[in-house]
Formats: sequence, C-alpha cells, structure tokens
Amino acid sequence: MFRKYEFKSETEANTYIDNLGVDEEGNPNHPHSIVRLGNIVLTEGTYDNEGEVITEPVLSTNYHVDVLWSGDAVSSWDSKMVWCPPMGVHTFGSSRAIAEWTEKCKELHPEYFPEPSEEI
Amino acid sequence: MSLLNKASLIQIPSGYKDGTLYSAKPTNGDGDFTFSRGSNLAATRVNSEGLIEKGRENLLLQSNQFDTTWVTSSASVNGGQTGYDGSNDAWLFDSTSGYIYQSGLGSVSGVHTISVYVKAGTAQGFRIRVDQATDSNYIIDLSDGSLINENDNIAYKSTSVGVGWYRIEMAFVANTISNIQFRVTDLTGATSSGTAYIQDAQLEVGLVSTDVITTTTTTAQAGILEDMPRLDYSGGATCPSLLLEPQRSNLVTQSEYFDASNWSTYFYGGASLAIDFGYLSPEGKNNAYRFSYTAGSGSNGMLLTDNFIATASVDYTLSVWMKGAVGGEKVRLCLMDTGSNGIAGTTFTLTDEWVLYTDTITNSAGTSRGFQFRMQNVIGVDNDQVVYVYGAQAELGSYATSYIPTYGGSSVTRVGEECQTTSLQSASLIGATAGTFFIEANKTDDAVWFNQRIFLTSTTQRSLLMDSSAGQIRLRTFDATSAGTSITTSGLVNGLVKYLIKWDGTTIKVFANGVLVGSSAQPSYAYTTYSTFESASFSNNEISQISLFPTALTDAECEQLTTI
Repeated sequence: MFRKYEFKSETEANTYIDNLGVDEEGNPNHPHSIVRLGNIVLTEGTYDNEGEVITEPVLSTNYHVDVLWSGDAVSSWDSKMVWCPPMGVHTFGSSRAIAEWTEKCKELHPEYFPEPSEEI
Repeated sequence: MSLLNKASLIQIPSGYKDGTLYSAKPTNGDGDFTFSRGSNLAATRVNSEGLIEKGRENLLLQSNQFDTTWVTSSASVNGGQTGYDGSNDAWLFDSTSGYIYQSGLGSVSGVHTISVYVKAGTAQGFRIRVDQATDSNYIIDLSDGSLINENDNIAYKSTSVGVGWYRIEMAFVANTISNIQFRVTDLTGATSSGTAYIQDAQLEVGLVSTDVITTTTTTAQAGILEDMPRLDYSGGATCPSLLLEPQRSNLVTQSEYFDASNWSTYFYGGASLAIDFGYLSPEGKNNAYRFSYTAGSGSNGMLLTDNFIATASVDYTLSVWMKGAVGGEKVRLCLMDTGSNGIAGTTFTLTDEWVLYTDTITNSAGTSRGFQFRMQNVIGVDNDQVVYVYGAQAELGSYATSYIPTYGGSSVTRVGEECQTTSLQSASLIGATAGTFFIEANKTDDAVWFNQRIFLTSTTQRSLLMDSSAGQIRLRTFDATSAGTSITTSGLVNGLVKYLIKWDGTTIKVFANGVLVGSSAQPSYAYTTYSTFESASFSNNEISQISLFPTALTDAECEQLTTI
C-alpha cells in the first residue's frame, strides 16, 4: 500500500520514520519502503532565454515522505496522510500500488479526477 | 568429485517465477528462494539478447473482447473474424458514422502509447482518438497505412504486418482521459460509415507499443513483474547473474521523452539543437532520440536540462545511454539546473555503439539541480555533431543502478530487493553445529554492495552477518546478545569475488578468492536456531552462485572452491 505524508519538518518526519524500527547501527529493520521527497516544488521556477532565473521555484515549507507499506499503513501515521491529484507525482513504480492508491484517491477526492466536458 | 556434489543447496540463478528463484539443489523446493521487490514498472534488466527489458502493463480492459466493457455508439462489433495472426480472434467493426470507446481511464497520466491492429473493410480510413482535455488523434489511410491526419501527440506510426493488417500506434501525454475511441473515416479524416477489422488494443506507458498483452476483467502485466527475480546479462554475459539492488529513485522526470517540456534548452553563440524521435534504442525498440547539434561561432553551445531538487553535500550519479553517429562526438553531463546552478561533470567522447555513460558527482551546498547535457566549444565540440540518447537517470548514491524509466513528469522509485530461503535447519541444508556458506558475486562498487546474513528469523542477533566495510566484506558473528569478532577481507577489487564461511562447532573461518582471510572462535550458542539465509534489501549484488554445505569443508576444499 502506497501513501503520501506531510510533516511540519524533517525532524518530525525522522521521529515517525525512526519509530518504525531501526537496528543497533541505525539501519531500518522494518519492512516498509520510505522515500524522502523533502520540501517539494510547489511552483516551478521560470528562466529567460539565457537561463537566468526570472522567478525562483517555490518549495513547500513542509517535509514530504512517501511510503510503500508492507501491508496496511501504520495507523499512527494517519494524521499526516495527504492526497493530491495523480498527475506528475512521485510513485513507487508498482502497478498494484499505483492502482490501489489511485482508486482510493478517486474515492476520497473525486475533484482530482475531472472528466472533460466534451460530449462523446 | 566436484565439491558441489557435497553441497546441500546450490543456487545458480536460472529458473524462476514471480516471487520465486528455484534452486538447482535440492530439487524438492526446500532450498528455493522467495524473492520480493514490489516494483515492476520501475524495474529493468539486460536480457539474454542483450536488450533492456522493462515491466509492461496493458491498461485497457477486455483488450480483445470488443463487446464487453467497450461501448459502441451507432456501431456494432462482430467477433470470430480472421486476424492478423491467423487466428479467428479479430472483430468486424461496422459503423454508421459512429464509434467504439472505452472509458474509466481518467487516472492514467503521463506518457502512454495506444495501439491496435486494423485492416480495411469497406471504410477508407481509421482513427484513434484519445478524448481528453486536449484530444490526441491519429488517422490513417487503410489502403496503405499512410497518414491522413494527426494532432497533439508525441509520435505515431503504422506498421504493416501482412495480409492487409497494420498495427497502428500513437504516443501521447495522458491527462484526464475521458475515453479512448476508434472510428472509421473517409480520406479526409471525417467520421464516416463503413467497416474495418480490429484486434488487440493496448494502452501502455512509454513511447512505443510492445508485444501484445491480452486483458480480460483487469489490467495485465508482462516482462518484469513486481516480485520477479531479475536475471541479468549485462556486459554480454552468456550466463546470467541475479541482480539485487537497493532502493533507488530516478529523479529525472522524463527519462526517455527528451522533447517534453520537462527538458528545457538553452542556446548561445548561434548554436542550436534539433531533437527527433524514433531511433533504435538499447531496448531494441525505435524509442531513442537523435540530438542533431549545430555549432555556432565563438563562445557557443547548448544545454538541455531536466530540473529536480537535490540534497546538499551528497553524491549523485547520472547515467544515460548514448552513441555518436560516427564516433568521436563529445557530451558533458552535469549536475546543474536550468540556470546552471550546480556542479560540472565529466565530458564523454562517444563511440558509434550504445554505451551506458555514468558520472558520480558530489553535490555542493545547493539544492536546485538537474540532469544536464552540454555540447559546447569549451568542451571541444567545435563542429556539428549527431548523438543518439536513451534512458537518462539521476539517482542519489555513489554508483549507478539499473535503469528506472520515468514517464509521468515526476521521479519514480524502485524498491529494494530481498531474497531468502528459510529451511536451513529443517531441511538439513546446514548441520546442527557445522556448515559452509559459499557465494560467488560481482563486486560492482566500494560502497554498499554486500549484505547477506544467515540468521534466526525475526532477530538481529544469532547471526552470521556479512556486510561491506570500506569496499571489503566484513563478517560479524552475533551471539545471542551482541556482536562478536569481525573478520574482514582485504584487497578485494571490483570484479568476480568468491567468498566462503565455514564453521565446525569450534572455529569460524573465512576464505576469499582462494586465500584464508581469518578465523575466530565460534560463539557458544545453539546453531540449531539458524533457519534463514537472506540477501537483504540494501545489497547491490550480481550473484552468480550461492551454495550451502551441511558440513565444514576442509581448508584445502575451501581454498579450491574459492580460487578464481
């Protein structure tokens, strides 16, 4: 199961991640896959024809983490779970996980899946 | 007698299915390895033909059952027609200015290819329409497969497959698809009445169609499956090795679609670049791009960049397949964003063969970075040149791992791989107090490349843990409460490594490449608890053999078995 999470800071994210389990050397010993997306780009930067910055990219002040859970998502993370439109977002390259996440996202947020207005 | 005749388990990667790697010995399944990765679309390998093989999926339902899930409007379908493959699996599509469509594809996003086999009936033309925010269309003349019209797609083509049949395909960027339609048309492209034969529709990620995957009530996958062991033939190998890699993300947001808006160009000094699609790639498909560079004068050059946010002061590795039109062409790869903030990388001189070029770059304090191609006079590109490009990858780490395709305008992660076998004691694969473990693998780098352990399931303690330490293999013998003595190899260089551990109830000895590395006292706990061998998810191995013995081999046998 693949889910997206948003934390107030990297420190807060680390607390949640470490609570999943680490061994005596600090290596994770839980079966879940964690990807730290960090402060993601909210608005792309713009550049002129000479490559000079017109506007800097706008980054989220929150810290983002994607998790491919082995089994169900850990419930203590639920308050940090976020949903977003499925276009242009990080994925785990798993047909099964992508399909499950997309279906759940569509169930919770049908507004992210607008149908074109044109009649067939 | 071969020493392997004494082995209780021999794993020479060859037979597999999704989730299982079969052992050559024992043959009853007790020594088979379970395998997990949880990634199919992010996993690739070099197959026995030397081509990159991907995970594939047909996202259409009822891909050749056009009277189910598919909806007709002012049209009908009739199965049992003679198909392109000689079967009776084709359908007659009979339209009165109507169409047939499949909806429910609204969550499909990114670069995809729609394909279908078609043959003329009474109609003159045939149209694929992707009905989405901005429609994508491709219309062909059924008499010869030539183009009638097209719009808002990445690429299109029709391929004659004989007896009047064509496979027609269109690559496009999916964005809130309402439905995918087929229509018959006249020679102007206008929807008309008439018939055409259709068979095997397919919608898949990527820039080209692949072999047919037939679906029914669900989508279907082929190629690399989610938990399929990857037997890899990189470097022209005739025997495969088991590819085990750690979790990695490709940060390049469009790894093959170099004409996408994600890739931005910057020219100066009168230089320019033409980007064309459809050239033979290391995948064996016509999905590579050609970069035709025109040099300017004075200080001149071209930059092509896909931006991403990086972490400061860590290593990134860029990799991409490239070849020159004639050889001798130069390309520099940089860890830089569109504004050229970042670190200059290596300039590569290309051959006229496909080569995977890799460049590991330590990032500085900045975080706005990108994968950047450079052709410019300051790196020695003074004349026009033509370069072919496929599969760009930027990953956090000090070495390149296998290719992770990205098509959706964002990064994609391939999850770390694990394989294990869990019946060491119950199947008598090792003895109660003694045993021998042997592994043959390719050492690919000096960082995290080795992580194997023989252990009591579900505990960190009570284990023989093998990991990498400064490019060498370190054995740590954990007893019930703590780590005991370590034995670490020395002098191992990249390439083939043969490594062995034996324990006889009193002493543990380690051999590598024909030499005794060291020995230590065996911890005093019950080896009967050993149940599992695991190659853990932060390994980076190309394993060609793993063997277990129920006894401790003699020193001479250990030297013989590990001699390269």
